[in-house]
Amino acid sequence: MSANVRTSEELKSAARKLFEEGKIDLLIGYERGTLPLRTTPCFITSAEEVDRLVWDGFCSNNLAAYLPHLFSKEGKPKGWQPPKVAIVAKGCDGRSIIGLVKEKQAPRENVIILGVPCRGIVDLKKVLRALDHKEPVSGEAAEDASVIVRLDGGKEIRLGRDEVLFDSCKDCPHPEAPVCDLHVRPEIPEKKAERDFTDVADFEAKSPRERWDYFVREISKCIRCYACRQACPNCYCATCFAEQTQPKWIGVGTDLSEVMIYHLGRIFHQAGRCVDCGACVRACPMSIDLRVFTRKMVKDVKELFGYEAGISVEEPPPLCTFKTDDDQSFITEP
Amino acid sequence: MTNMETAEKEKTAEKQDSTQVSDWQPRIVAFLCNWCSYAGADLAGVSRIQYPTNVRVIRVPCSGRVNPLFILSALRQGVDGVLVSGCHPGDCHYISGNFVARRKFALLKNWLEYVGIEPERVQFSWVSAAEGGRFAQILQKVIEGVRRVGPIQKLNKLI
Amino acid sequence: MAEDMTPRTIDKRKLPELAGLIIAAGHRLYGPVRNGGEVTLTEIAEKPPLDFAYGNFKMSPKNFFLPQSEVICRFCGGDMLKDAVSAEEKKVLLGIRPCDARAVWLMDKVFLEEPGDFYYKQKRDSTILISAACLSPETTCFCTSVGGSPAGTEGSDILLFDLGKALLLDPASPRGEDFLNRFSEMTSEASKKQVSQKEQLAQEAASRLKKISLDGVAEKFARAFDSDLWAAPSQKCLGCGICTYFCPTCHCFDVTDETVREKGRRLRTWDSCMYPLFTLHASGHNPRPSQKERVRQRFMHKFSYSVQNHGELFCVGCGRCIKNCPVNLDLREVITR
Repeated sequence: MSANVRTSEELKSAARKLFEEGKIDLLIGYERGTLPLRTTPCFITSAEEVDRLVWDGFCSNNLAAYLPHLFSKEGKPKGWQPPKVAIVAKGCDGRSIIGLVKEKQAPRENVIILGVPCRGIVDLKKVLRALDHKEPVSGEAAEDASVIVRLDGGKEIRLGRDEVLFDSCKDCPHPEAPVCDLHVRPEIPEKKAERDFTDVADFEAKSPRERWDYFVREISKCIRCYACRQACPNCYCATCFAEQTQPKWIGVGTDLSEVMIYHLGRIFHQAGRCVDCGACVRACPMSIDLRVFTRKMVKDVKELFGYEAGISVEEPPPLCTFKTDDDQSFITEP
Repeated sequence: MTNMETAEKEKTAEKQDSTQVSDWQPRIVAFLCNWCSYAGADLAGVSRIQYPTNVRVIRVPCSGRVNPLFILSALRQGVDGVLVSGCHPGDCHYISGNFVARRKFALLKNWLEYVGIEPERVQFSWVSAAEGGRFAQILQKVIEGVRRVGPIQKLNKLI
Repeated sequence: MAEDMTPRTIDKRKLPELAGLIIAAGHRLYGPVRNGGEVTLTEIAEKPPLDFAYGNFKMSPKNFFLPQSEVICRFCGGDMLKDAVSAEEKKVLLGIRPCDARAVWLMDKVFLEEPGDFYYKQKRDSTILISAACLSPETTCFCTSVGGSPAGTEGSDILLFDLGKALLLDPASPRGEDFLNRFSEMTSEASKKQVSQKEQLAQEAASRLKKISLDGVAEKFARAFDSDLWAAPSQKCLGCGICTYFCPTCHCFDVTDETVREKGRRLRTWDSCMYPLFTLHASGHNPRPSQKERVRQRFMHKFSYSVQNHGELFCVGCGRCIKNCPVNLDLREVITR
């Protein structure tokens, strides 16, 4: 608990300094939410508001999702200058930001990345399951993402890190943003080993029938709310292919074939860009297991092209470049 | 809720389709790059090389022009199989179009197979303008592959 | 409920039998089914045990009257197919909460007002709503602040109270009374003691709800149209549409045509004012160009325009938008600000 508080205080003083030195117009961070165990994105424009900021294991939203819109020239008056924005970034969020910079959705010189040391985010769905679906009244997260929750009536329950950690965080090799302008706390948690994709490999080992049935079962839950798309920092297209009318790739209803193509298309559009932050999964109100699909894309890009999204601004995106000896075992020969 | 009902409807359609298998002929859509594969297919025709007629050709300037959504859209519209064919790597008329496409297609092929779509339904090949015979062989192989897996039942839209 | 409609009771253990009779009488029965931590309104084909101790259903019953995806006509070649839209089956929805039933009552004002929506009316006329009074509201509920109550009867045909061993069935409409009469051998007249027990439970439940002051909210919002206060909540809104999809009264829809070769159909599907495409004109102009206008629109429609158009606040206080919002944009916070 105290480690989180220390980080929060350092974050606040760093933020205050940035405002006082006139270096930023806006700071995007997290503040306490209105529901127990929740935080909510906050947009601060002055040093006086800095005390609203918090940092703990409940800070789940990927704040990079707000950047494309802030820097988009569309609809802005003549002579508009892009704002200077500081943004609180976990490891995954920081990689999203670099991805956006690479795709020219945010000018690097206008973004100040405040790298916070992240030991993992708490998955609220897992917390509820562990509490047998009783609504907690309040709770705190320690730096290692273990939680203490209080129920109606005062009962206090401790839940260990392993019980509540969000799946993406389990094998995350980037506790802090690989590229950041300010380390909010100098002691960075140790970088872990490379990401391991056993969950994807296990799924690959199933029979085609099993895989299809699972895909059908999960995608059938989809209500086409597009929360996954809106929460994803990489989905910034002015008109998503799913809503295009010229041509009309898919309709707007809930026909299974259309919903499947929406997900197949959206996740394919993330190839080489997805940082596995889990924002889509957390946003989904129907708890669709999107990660088993998104991670396949991340794994293939890593294995086929040796590329991981959001590590360096200079590295060219994998689908914009090529090697003359790229794998072509998939080609049909007579 | 509605999705599950649709899934049930589509399963019933599956059963209906299987009773009509004997009349069914595979329908393939082939995206052929103008400079190599399309010319190769044309050469096959001019050389009177016989190959099955279950294919509709769509000419594209380069295999790199093929948007993965074309392939998904074709399957959605009820096509049983898709072939995309371009120049051999290194021979692209636009220098690097097929190199970039190669990466895209590698990912797409894995992706579709991962979710359970039969790999025979979406295939990729390199055919040059001089390879009329090779084109016919590849097309034959694709059609036989699709015939083996049967009419499309996944991703096609039913109205 | 009129004075002449008498409440009935039934022993809880006999509820599965009553359910069986309802199904045998040709109704499709939908009731609360637990799935992990969620309760969904699912078809009960056999006679599973039914309990009413949940908060609220994950999704509102809106889908039964305004389906997410509905075929409104079919055509082939150049001709409209006449019998394309089938007659609706009779349905009974058991266990929906009074807030959701009130939402149906509010939607009636939109869809049944002359000339009336054919598809909605068909479904509404063939569905009986048996609400279950809410005895343990959730922390995100605030029905009493918007004109509702845990024992409200608007929109319901029958209101059910869980009295422990017995269930009290209070007819709330002539249709509800008819329905109860059809199964009168299964029920008995409620005793005075049971009726007063029900009153007590209803009061207790209502007292547990925190009240938000909404006096004059319609005028306040109307005056605040140009206020800068709208900017702050809309900054964090992702425009995902979850709030509109889970809201029991949000009813915006899109109509599209789908064709496969010569056959086609016209589809009515849910749409959301939170999407930029919702108000995008063919010219490219968008009267609600940014999230600020769209968030403002949602609140204005729910709390101000609805009062002007229909005389009622359209929010029923179910709290689903608050629970499901991925960025914790809290309606209650916006209103009080």
